[in-house]
Amino acid sequence: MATTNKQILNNLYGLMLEINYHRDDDEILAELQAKPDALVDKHLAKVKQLTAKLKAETNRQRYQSAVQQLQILKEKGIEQFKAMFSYSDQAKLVPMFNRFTELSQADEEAILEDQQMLQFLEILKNKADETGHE
Amino acid sequence: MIIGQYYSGNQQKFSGVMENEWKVVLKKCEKHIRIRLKQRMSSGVHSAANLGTNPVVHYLEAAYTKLLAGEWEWKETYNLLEQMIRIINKMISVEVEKYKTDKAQALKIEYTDITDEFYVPDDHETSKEDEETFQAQCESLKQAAAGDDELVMIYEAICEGMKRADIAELLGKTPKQFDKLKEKLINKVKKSQ
Repeated sequence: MATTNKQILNNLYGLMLEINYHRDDDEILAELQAKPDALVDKHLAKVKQLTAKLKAETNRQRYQSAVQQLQILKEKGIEQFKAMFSYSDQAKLVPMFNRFTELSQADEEAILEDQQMLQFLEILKNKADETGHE
Repeated sequence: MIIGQYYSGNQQKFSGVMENEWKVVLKKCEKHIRIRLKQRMSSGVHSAANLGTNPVVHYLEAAYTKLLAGEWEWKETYNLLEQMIRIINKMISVEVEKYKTDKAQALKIEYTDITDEFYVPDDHETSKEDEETFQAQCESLKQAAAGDDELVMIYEAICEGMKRADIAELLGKTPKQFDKLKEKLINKVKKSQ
């Protein structure tokens, strides 16, 4: 079957896509250095903004989840949470559990600033979710 | 703002991406979209009116947003450029499919080698007007190659659908040397128009 004009152009564009894909990074960077590209600069800035926004949003969600978890801890009591873990896990997490025995408002605020404690609260939440589904 | 299920995994990979890599990826993706859209030019699918914005900006922005937010997974075996191009190709294909059949989600194509994806033919029906444009463009290409043995060989290899590495081998050149020759052909076409 004869090659149609459309097929020939499709092949040509395919080749151009392939050449673009394989271009040397250094060659492109040198070009951008010599002649800045407004589109690249604009989207690089957008990538940075979006990265920062997403990080802030995940921190906010993590914080909210920790606040909720603290609330549940208060309602259920620390003993009920301890019972979800094996003895060996409990032993590893004792210092963390101990910090929940008598919490003041100031303690709660400190916990929400503490990355290690936030991680611990996530472990508690995951465990509580697991137990809830069993 | 929606945080997708792949956010954490993707972020781990993003932490290793430097600014220069982003610049190269954005530049290559921008050019990739422009060529890809020309390749798929026969319908009104990618027009600004249809997408609500400039198509190049639309696909570029959508690709890095989906990847950064973790809506799409950054697969372990791909680098950033390959992953972005795969997302862009998929989005453009889905847009074509949506336009044609409204069954975009049914489209699932996976290719092992990304460069195979570059040559997938567009099965969209062409109008008489489009065919005339294609004919004129092919004629320009043929004319530009005429009189230069290497360019004629390249033109014939393009007609046969040969890939970059195969054409380079045919000409006894490295793929990089071949890239320069292809530029010569395209420049001659541009000058003749």
